Amino acid sequence: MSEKVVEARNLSKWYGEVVGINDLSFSLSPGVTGLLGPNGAGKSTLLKLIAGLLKPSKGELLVFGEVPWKNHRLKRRIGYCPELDAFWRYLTGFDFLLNIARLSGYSGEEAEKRVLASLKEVDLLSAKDKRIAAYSRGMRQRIKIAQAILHDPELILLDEPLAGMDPIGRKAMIELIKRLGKEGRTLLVSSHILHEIEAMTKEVILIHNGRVIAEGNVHRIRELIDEHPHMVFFTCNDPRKLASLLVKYPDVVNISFSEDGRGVTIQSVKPDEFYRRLPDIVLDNGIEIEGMHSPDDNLEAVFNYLVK
Amino acid sequence: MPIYELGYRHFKGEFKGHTHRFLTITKRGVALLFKKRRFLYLIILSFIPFVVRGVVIYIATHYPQVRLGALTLDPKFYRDFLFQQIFFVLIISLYAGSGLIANDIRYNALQIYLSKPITRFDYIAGKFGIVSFFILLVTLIPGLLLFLLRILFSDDLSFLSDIYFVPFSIIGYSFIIAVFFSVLILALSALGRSARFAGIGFLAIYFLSDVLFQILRGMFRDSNFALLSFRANMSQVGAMLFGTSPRFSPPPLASLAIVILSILLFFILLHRRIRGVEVVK
Repeated sequence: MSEKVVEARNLSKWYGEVVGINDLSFSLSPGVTGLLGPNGAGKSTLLKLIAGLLKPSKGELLVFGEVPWKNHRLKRRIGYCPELDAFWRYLTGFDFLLNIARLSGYSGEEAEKRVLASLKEVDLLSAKDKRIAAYSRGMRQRIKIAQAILHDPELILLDEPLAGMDPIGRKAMIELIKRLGKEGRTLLVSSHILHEIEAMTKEVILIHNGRVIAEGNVHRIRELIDEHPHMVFFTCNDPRKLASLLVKYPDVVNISFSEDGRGVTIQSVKPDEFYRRLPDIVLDNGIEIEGMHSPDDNLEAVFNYLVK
Repeated sequence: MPIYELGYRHFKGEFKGHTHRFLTITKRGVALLFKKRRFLYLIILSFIPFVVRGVVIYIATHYPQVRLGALTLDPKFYRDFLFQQIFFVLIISLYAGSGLIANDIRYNALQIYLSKPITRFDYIAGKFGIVSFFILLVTLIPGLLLFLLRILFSDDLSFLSDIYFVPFSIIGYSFIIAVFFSVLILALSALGRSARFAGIGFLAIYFLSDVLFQILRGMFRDSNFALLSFRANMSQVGAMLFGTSPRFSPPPLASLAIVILSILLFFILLHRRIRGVEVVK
């Protein structure tokens, strides 16, 4: 029988007349669970409720069998990484984490030991004496994760942890998240990009308009999602050439160009294969990609499709 | 069901107690302010009245024949010193306190604080500790030192029987000043993301309440309106604690009640504003 770390029953949270979370019931066991949903779905609200930063409007939420709201002792067991930057930018990375360690109850040598260990975990040891204001977005993301894991929490809540990270940093972070999960900790990782979550775990909770619309193994949901095209927008030196190279593949079902002619939107029904072959196509044909993103409305469309 | 490669082992060491958490916030804030040169100059400047009064004590005790105008080394001497120090208290509160919470709100740092094992009260106590430390540094410390100087410079200690209560008055008055101004500036700092707004509000509340009192007193020839002025109330409270005659007609106890009530109101406002998540309705 698996231990339930988080249990929510008919949980709701509303801000005035705006509903953040609506009658949500689910449970979390040790390991990594992906919290997937488009922006505004209620992911951040749910993470803040679990972290004890918000009080539920209705329903029951238990973390390690205790109510998280106004429960500072429980927070010793929870690590929370917010979506937005949240730190004193005039401090160095080391000083920032040292303060966090002391706030968490560690003293002297133990605090410094933990700071250095967490900096090493997120590969920021070499930048520890730099001011956070001088950090790149990816570095700031990593220092936020370091403060979430520094106090050795059993439950780790990561809100869009890969946003703004470069591909190498992203890969390292995915490995770290997987390892923390394998150690027996419970991780709830939010994202609006399915492929990010898939790289970390098979267990997902799909959330849309504040409601859980699917929960369980990602492969069962994946079959449904695969039938719906995945959208990617590119800006590059030669969009027409890129389009002509990609259109040959049967999974590419739609191509459209932006009005200024500098961008192209591709829709693929097999995003995994699409992303796998993309680097070779780009490199072999000398295409310079200036920007690439998967618009959030892409996932929104998938969710609308699933809700139907 | 997943099989985990390594069973999770939580930290088994000893955590520091709760007092330590609020002190962490205070210590960091105090250390940061001490690093600011302009702030250091301000602290040094605020000790000039202490030096002047120290010289006065020296002259009065060593050269009794020298006339020092209305200055006598009675309880009023110490009360006036602390009341005058309020000028520096205002500037120090502005400098040290106006951005303390506003900047945390601006940088979303509140959610980091409150996601750690500290309570909202710990957070407020930590911030309160920063402002009140500096206020006490320029009121309590020089106030007690002046009393000590009087003892050191005097050959005859018989005067102590008349003013034995003064150290307690200095402690009481300094703490009232520290609590009032710290809570006021922190409450205003917690109202928004702008330290400037907090600073302007702070000065406006303190001085406009006094302007209102002066206008009403001029119009109605009644100094009972002193109860509307924070400045006048502070003067009344000082008179009560040092056993000197109050400047205005309302009973000093009423002024003390107003000061305590204001502290409570500002604290409630402050406590309500400290949230891990700012909810915009």
